[in-house]
Amino acid sequence: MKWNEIRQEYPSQWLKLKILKSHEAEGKEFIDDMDVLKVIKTDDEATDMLVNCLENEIVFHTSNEVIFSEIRNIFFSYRS
Amino acid sequence: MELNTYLHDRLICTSIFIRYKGSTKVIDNVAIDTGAVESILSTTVVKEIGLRAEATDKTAVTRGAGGSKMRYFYKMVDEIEIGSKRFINIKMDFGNIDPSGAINGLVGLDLLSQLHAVIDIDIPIVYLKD
Repeated sequence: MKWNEIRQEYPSQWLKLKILKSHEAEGKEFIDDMDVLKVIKTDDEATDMLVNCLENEIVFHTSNEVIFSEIRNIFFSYRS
Repeated sequence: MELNTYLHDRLICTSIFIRYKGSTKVIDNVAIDTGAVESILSTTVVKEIGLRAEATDKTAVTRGAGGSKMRYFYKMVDEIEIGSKRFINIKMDFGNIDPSGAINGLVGLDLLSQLHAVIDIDIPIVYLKD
């Protein structure tokens, strides 16, 4: 699904999403296609799930018009 | 000036003070890490002062140990104090940097450079230049 479809279906919600397709531009990872894995009820739960995401998962709130993460590479050894 | 440091889990650690929306906490076992570009704190230790990801917080992704993706968020906090140096209205990263829970955060190069830190591995002591 596209983010705008998901936003209409799940307004003002935290969601755990499976990333199906993404691209990198301007130092950001933009999510292009995704599936909803879980509706998250609270900020606390969203926090836990966000920081424990698997490789192809992201936690995001549908109040945001665009779904992306900044690519920061804060640990030097793994900078690409 | 010296920063109070100690070895914990074989790492040079310190304790830092955080203030967020009026709540305060001293976070122990924060590693001094010159390999980290940015400082980051564990989400589990700041939960009790009400600090959590909110809808408008920005998220970021980095590569963790082993090369896997690690997602985190960042936000402004009222104050971080390290040694006797206070950082007011400072942006901090929050993530899961140690699933074992032994280390509660990393003081990275962003803060170490602002602290003008000199690290003596032998003791260990971290001096903060005036």
